[in-house]
Amino acid sequence: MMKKKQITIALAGNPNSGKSTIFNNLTGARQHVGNYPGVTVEKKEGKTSFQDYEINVVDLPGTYSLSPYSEDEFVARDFIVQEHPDVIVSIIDSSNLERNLYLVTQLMELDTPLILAMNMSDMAEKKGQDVDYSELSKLLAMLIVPTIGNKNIGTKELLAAVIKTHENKIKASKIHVKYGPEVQEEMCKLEQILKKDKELVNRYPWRWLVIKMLENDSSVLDIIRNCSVGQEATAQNEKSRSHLQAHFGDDPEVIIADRRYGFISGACTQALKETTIEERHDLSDSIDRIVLNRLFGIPIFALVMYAIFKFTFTFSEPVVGYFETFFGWFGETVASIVPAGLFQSFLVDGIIGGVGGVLGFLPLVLFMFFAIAFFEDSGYMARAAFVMDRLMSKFGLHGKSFLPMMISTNGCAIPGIMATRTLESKKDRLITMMVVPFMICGAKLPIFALFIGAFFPASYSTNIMFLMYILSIVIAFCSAWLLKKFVFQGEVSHFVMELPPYRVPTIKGLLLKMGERGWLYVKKAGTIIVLISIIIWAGFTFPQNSGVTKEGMTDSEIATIQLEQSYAGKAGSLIEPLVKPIGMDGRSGIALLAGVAAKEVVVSTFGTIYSLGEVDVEETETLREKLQKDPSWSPLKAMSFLIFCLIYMPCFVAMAVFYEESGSKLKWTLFLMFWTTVMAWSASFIVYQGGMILGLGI
Amino acid sequence: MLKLIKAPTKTDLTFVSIEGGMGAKRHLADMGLVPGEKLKVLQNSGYGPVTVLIKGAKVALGHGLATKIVVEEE
Repeated sequence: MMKKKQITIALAGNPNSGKSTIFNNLTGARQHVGNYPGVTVEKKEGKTSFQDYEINVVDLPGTYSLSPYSEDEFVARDFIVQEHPDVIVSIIDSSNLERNLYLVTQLMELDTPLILAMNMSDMAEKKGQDVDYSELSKLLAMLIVPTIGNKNIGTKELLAAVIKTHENKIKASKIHVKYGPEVQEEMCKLEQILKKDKELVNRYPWRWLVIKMLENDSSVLDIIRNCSVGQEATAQNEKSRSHLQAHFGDDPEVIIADRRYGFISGACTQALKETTIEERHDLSDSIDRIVLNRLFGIPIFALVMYAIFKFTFTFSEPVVGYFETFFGWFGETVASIVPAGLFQSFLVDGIIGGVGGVLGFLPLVLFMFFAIAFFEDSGYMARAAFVMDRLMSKFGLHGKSFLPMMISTNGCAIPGIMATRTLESKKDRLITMMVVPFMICGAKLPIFALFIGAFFPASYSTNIMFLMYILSIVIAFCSAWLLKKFVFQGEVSHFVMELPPYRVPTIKGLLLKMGERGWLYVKKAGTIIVLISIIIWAGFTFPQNSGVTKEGMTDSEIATIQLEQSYAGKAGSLIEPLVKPIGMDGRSGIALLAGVAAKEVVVSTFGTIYSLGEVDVEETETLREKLQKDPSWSPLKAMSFLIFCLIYMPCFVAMAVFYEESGSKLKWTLFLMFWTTVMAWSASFIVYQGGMILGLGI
Repeated sequence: MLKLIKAPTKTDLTFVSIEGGMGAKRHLADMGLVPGEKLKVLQNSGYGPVTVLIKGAKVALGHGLATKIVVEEE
């Protein structure tokens, strides 16, 4: 068999033009998609075969131009310009043709072969847009494929066009935007200087360099300054720019942008058969007039979040009950088969008690993910950021910082931290990264469900959960304000954000998302949580019978002594003085400490502890019931515990990602650990001691 | 000529220029806002961001930015 030829293609396009959907269609991957800008912040690779080619497909973060402003845009620009993919597939939202073609005009300045995927072509047709594809293809000198990403239409044709373009080497450089004689003349002068540096023009397309210099793109100017003709080129560029400035009475970057739009509008006039495009934004506008209203905006957002929690708690409650009962029954069954002893305890208390506690909440997490997926796909996410902008500007951040915080609530703090890449200001980014972990992620959710379920009446559960959510936002905002005021002073950067059109989410899309995130939860329970549960079990089991057991002691007393005298029990009593003022004992201290490995571990640790402390293995009480019956807890203590869990240090993986994304700043990572934990302790202290004074400590 | 922040909801405008911020100028051009470009105010409460329609896309511009954008009424 002949070996397949290998090529690399890059998917480039504006934010929210459906690149990841096309990527998934091409490669069969399940990359996360959503209806808000900035879902993809990192390049993602996948493979596909077509004819006798093996194609390496690279999905890039969305970008409006090849002049990057934020980290995610740098990722896209660097790949396109430096990695020399064999073909660039430029994906555009056809229903917004002119603006989307702007990036295409810049891609045309590179030497890489280019094809155009006109995505969402059904939406454009619905708007009454009738494109003469062959005419547009001629005008832009590239193959064009209409696609409908969410229906997987046009995928094969796209691959065929990629291969054809690659084999025919249809160079995108055939047609360029005409910038006019004045600009062209300055371009020539710069070109002659740059071409003296052979290495430079081998690495980067000269034409692109020259235009970006005239556009005053700071990252390109840096590249130029460091090349062998740096001084000469920089001096010439300054001269050229001031010449153009004087000639046109405006900045060269504005003139260049204007020429590009002129080129696009010329092409569109020729290639669009019907120019009766009605801007039908009526429904979307009416919705926005309500949800973005200055008075109702925030209350509506609060209502939406409340509805999500209400939905989650109401519908998951019975199913969680079944799951808990199942794991109770399962433990009991295993106990009746396996003879009593260490091995039985290992299985029943360590693994089933620990992991079962976490998996019991799977339905709750799934319901939450389903509701959140609706929120993500509808287009409301960007609106929530808009609404919060006003409030957040009082705390020194702008609305875009709210997106990473929401992403954290939608599943996990890690993608939340990654999503801060869309922020342009480095300081804002660092601040946002530091407050993102305060949000209630999918891993913290079971802790809240467990304690709220155990200590508060069912009719209040949504309200308490919602209160916790509000508290997480308040804490995040106040921290941001403190950080901005005392650590990262600086001005608020510009807030520019596209609001995507509303879409009705498809059931299939929602279920896919729910399944994807739910599977991650199960996978984590089956790996890291099993491992930590075993460690915790061993910690509380050994050394065996080291305590003084006297004749006539009940089984339950013996179990208690065993827990106290074990390694973990002793470690617990060591840290007890630290957590006593916030109403916790050594066991809770151990659970919290173990929770740094992964927040679900807080639940699994209690699962193991209560399973070990249980004398009659035949009894099938759920973990919630066991907690409820434990006289050492009270609703006030539970509240204090939850507040601590809400605020204290992020899990290891989140901290590792924080370290990476903060530019490997150990200082900030340690600061984050310390700061969050001190805050958590103080908040719990106030709540617990305050509650005691008010006499709520019953 | 007026500042975008002063333009009431539903007015049709022509973009003239933006004061200050070099970065913002190219950033807005990337989003379709070049001198002479038509835009429409979709929502402006005079408080918080302003939403405008630029080349068929709905864009939110921060309050601070909207105070620097110079426009002309149609």
